[in-house]
Amino acid sequence: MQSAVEREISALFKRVGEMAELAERTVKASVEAFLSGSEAGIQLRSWSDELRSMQEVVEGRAVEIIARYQPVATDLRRVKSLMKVSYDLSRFGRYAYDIARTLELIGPYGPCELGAVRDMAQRAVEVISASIRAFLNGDLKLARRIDAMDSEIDGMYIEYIRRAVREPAEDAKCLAAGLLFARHLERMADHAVYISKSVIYMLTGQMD
Amino acid sequence: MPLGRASSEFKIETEGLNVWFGEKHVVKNFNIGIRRNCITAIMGPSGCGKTTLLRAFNRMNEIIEGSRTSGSVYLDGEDINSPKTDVVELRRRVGMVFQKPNPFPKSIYDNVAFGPRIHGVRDKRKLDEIVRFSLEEAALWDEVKDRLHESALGLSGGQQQRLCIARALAVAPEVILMDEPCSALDPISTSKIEELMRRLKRNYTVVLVTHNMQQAARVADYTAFMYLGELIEYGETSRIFERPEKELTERYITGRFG
Repeated sequence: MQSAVEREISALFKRVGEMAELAERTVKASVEAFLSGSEAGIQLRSWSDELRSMQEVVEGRAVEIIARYQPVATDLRRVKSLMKVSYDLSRFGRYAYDIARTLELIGPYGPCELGAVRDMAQRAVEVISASIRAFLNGDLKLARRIDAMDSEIDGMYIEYIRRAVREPAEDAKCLAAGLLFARHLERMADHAVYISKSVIYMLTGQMD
Repeated sequence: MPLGRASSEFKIETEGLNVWFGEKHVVKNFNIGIRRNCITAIMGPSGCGKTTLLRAFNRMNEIIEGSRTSGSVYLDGEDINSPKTDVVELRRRVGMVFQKPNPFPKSIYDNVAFGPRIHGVRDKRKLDEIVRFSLEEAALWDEVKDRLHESALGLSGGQQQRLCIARALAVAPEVILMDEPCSALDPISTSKIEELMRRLKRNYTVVLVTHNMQQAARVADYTAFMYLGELIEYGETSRIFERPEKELTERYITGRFG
């Protein structure tokens, strides 16, 4: 039979799991909208706000668990990791919304040549999904692969920036949109790495 | 005496220590080093041998009929079980505070002066000095300085326990063994004793037996987990409570035991 603290932590895990699903959906919708140049600001803003308020609920529950049960060992590591992961998930929502705001900010653009950034977007969505799967399934092996996946994205990001400066797009809007998009993708991929580190810490107690 | 032990980081060290009560093997092949000027907590379920281990550090088990000890306990590198050991002197150096405050039915002053008098201190001024110093060390002086000659039994439970600590300190010990010193106290008295422990470790080595894991987590620098007479895991408190290495420790501290 589960103890009270285990039940509380399982319930918290379930909430963060729901957040993870919503965050993944939000990221995918935002990337698709950007690449097709379509308006998605209102929808993404509402999902981003929802993730943010879910994160606040998770944080409140986590603090309550600490105050009431003083968890230790695996329990303590789970609570700490759930707090951190919920923050990273809320950041996914925020960056997804920021991507959608690009359109609002600079007005309709395109058609733009998005070649390199399109690949980067695909890799970013992959690493974000992988980090979420590693978290939901407690998959240590997968979690340990995330860092390398992110390094690849970092490489693509730097390459993209250098190229954008070296061979600027003729349309300034395309240049601005591409750079902002790449930047947000790179930040999201970093949060995928933080999630993988929380998973590793939760499962093994190791931090690096 | 094994060479180089006296200079080691350990105030107390055991080597293959075993304690039996009749047929019952209570402490099993125990090897541990207690670091000087640290608080070391020993935790484990009831009956795991914590108190017996503690009592082996100043040979208190031998007053129990049918007890038998093998292996070694070193205090500053010297084997306390050697025939040369003066047991009275050993117990002066390694003092003890018990679960329930147990002041003598005497005045506050006489409680603290009791040990020094036994050890031959007669001079009134010297005794006054020791009583004041010990009560100050035990963070009790300000509360009792105007009623030193009133009965100790009129003190609150928490004050009585600090008086017992002052009584232990009055003979200038080097190690203080505390066996569940807060289990009969309310949270305020408990936090006073815990604050006192943190202060005491500057001048003494403190070994604490406790059922209360949160107390170990709050005050101890090092924590040992004992089960069925054996040392299961020992290390820095923060590590033990955040990422224990042994499955048994994990199950015990998270309350998933048995």
